[in-house]
Amino acid sequence: MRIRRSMVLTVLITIITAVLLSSCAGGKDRSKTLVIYNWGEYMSRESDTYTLYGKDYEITDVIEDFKAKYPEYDVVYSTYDDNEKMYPMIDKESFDIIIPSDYMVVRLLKENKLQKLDMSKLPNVEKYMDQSLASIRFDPDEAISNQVYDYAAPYMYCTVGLIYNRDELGQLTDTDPAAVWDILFDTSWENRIGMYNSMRESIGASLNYLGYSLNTVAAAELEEAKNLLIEQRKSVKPIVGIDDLKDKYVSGELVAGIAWSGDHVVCQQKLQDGGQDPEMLQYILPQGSNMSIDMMCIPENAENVEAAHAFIDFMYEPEIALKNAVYVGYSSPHTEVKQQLPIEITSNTSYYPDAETMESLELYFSSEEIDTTYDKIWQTVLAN
Amino acid sequence: MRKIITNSYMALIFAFLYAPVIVLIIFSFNDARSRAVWGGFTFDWYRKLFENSDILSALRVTLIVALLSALISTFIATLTCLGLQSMKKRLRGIIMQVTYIPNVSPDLVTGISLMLLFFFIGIRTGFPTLLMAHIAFNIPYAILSISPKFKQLDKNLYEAALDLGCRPAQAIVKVILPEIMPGVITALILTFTLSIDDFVISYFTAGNQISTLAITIYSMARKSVNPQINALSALMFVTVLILLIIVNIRSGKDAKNSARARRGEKS
Amino acid sequence: MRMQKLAWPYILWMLVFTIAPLMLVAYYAFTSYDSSGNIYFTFEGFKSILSMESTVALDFLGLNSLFGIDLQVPIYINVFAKSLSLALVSTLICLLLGYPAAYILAQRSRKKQGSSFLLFMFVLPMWMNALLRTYAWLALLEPNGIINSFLSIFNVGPIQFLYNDFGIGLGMVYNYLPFMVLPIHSVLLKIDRSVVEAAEDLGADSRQTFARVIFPLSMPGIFSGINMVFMPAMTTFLIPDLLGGGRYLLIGNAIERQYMVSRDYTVGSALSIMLLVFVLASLRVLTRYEQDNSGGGVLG
Repeated sequence: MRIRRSMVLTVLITIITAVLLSSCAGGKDRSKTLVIYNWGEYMSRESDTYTLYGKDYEITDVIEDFKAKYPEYDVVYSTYDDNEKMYPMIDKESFDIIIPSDYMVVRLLKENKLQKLDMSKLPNVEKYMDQSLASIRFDPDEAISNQVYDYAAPYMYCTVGLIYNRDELGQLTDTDPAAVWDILFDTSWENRIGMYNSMRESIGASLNYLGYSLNTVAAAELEEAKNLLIEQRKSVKPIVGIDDLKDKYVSGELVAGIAWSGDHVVCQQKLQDGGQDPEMLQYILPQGSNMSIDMMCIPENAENVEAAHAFIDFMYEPEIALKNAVYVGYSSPHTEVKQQLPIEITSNTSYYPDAETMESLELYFSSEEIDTTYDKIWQTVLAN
Repeated sequence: MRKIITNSYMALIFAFLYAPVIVLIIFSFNDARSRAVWGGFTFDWYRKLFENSDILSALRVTLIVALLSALISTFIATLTCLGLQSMKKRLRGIIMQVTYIPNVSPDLVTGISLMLLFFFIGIRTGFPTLLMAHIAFNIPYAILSISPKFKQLDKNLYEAALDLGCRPAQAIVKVILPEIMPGVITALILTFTLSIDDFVISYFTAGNQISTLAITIYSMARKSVNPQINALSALMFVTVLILLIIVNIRSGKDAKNSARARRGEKS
Repeated sequence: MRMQKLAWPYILWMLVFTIAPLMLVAYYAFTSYDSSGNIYFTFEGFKSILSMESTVALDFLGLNSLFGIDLQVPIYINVFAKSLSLALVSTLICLLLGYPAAYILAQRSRKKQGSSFLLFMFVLPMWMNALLRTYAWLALLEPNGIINSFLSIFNVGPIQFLYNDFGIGLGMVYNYLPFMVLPIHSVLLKIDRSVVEAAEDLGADSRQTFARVIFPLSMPGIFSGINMVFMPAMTTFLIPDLLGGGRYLLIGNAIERQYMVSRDYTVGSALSIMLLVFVLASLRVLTRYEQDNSGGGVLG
């Protein structure tokens, strides 16, 4: 009988050490932890000096800044590169902050997966948010559209256009979508076109090229867009990615591609770092293309709502918002930041669309019909 | 002539095997972000690597999981092998058949099936699920390393120990354990390395809030060109090289010693 | 020895972590949720894999691209066929490259007893993370990478090595070549010298000795090598992910996507079952061959 006792003892000891060790590795106290789920490369996470149009900006790791201000919270930070990849995860795990794009916010809102923001805890948002974004229509249903800002605070916004190598393509000026996107489908650029591994952007550019709405549900139009994308994969053989594409534009491996306006700013920054002419890469915004706003939200199953509010408000502190805007390169919804950034950037209507440009752009909408039909198309495109 | 052909063939194969490794190591000292241009010599990427909290915490998780899963799975495997000895042949056969399943099925399916299990039970993915998954895929390898030692074991040893007045526990610890020790050590080393090297199963069972080194590398490699990855690979390569050389020298010595011992027995 | 009880924890563990998960894959493959969250039995998963609703030309071993045969099949069948043809070709290349290497290695270690330095050097890169080694090929093969920069000296190129079948095949051969060499090498080492000497004594020249004696005796090694290369090559999602330029969907990626992105567990599980059955069946065929060919007990 001795054998059993000693065995039991050893098993117990092993299990206890396992639990102890695992608790110090993984099981942090959840009420003191802030779990953030953000796009990749979408927040300043390093210390460096960035130079934009001759102006120097110091950036630091803003998560560390947050921890310095709120030492009681531990931060867990993870990233995704596609709204559609983020979507299933929020059921699987509990996040306190997510930063989906507008149409995904609407979708989550309709599915009751978001918590209402407590504006009394967000004085900076109240104070600094750019009011030109206030009138944006997020959904055909006005009642829903009006609710969006109750549940989400804008983080960054951008437009979708074409990034291209000026040395090879010359300066493009025609903003007719059929002319701009034509390059994506030009077989002479085999293996040298970049496409986003993102459902709405790919299908959207194809629809825009064909002259259709970015939110169409007409079967014939979608079929046309789908076939165009499949044909492109076969004949043009685009390189598909997200963050990895930027280096390929900078190195000259890719000649043109779909890009969020912010990625273009980042690419120019990289060119400058490498001692090259930043103007080599240009960005053109076709009419009727997309504008999208990524917004900070608190999911319904968040476990640390208190810290989440503190974090959203912290992101709106002018100093922090500036660091993020400089690092990320996307357009900032922060009035004070807009003052601090170089005028060359903030006056460019491709980055910061004025009222007239904004009028011509379309946001993505989300409805069950759009979501399922687009997903089906995307699956088929991917399998080719 | 023949020798020249075989030599150059082997040289080509080795060039193929080592080209990427050498490239990684050289470019870990390259003072330019690009992978094609040489911008001078630097240790910057190594410095940045040790400041990168993501990588460091992933390293910690990887090591803890590898250590724990190696210990636990080897422990369970040893118990199991002890138990299997006194089992009826038929039952033992069935158990061994099932044990082989994870070995022959693709990692992808093992990872997914475990993910479904955790999802079905309703456990959130995180450190505990990662550890359980690693134990689960390690146990079969541990059993397969230890069970051959039992085949070589003289069954009468245990009985003899009991006859000589040992309690069962003593008999196991003093008689059987030393006999199967080489198998146990192999199991420990094997499971530890398998756990460190695993990507696919961790990818499906770790969830989003915890990351092993392999998962971190995967997400970094899919993003931009990051020379920190080169520095990390160079370090890992050198570590493995040193470890393997030590193991090899030791086992070489052991082999010599045991050869000497055997010769001694004969004379 | 009455220690059966010691195996019980493992039997319990096995039921939970080996049997139950596989059952769950089957369970999810045949069930789905309706809009109110009720589970119901369904063949939808398999149906949508086999549905002729959206089809493409079968791309199997160059059928479409080389011979221009236009055979329309469901998209997932094509994904499966594409993965299979890449895995088959990579396995074949591994065998063609690996057999001579294993043979030379075996000869060397036979001559210099105990010096396993070459073998050690051969296994060494395997100990480095597969992700990292695959990633390193990017630097070599990129359009403005090292090989193309070298070629440009001679005014050749740039050649597109990446994001195509070549790049993926290379990634597979590189990662799995040692899995082919090692089993063949160990079988070759175990071949009884006296059998070879007997053949030579009976007047066989070296070519005949190889073809009639050594090669047949090394068959078990070849089979286990094929086994060890084919399975990971068929199921990998890493290699196409890293070297495929984001537009390669092989069966591994398709399954990964179903679970991690689309969250369609029904289709994902159905695909997994298809893959598992296929892999296990081909494994069975191989082991049968192996047993038929290993008469004489070379494996010991």
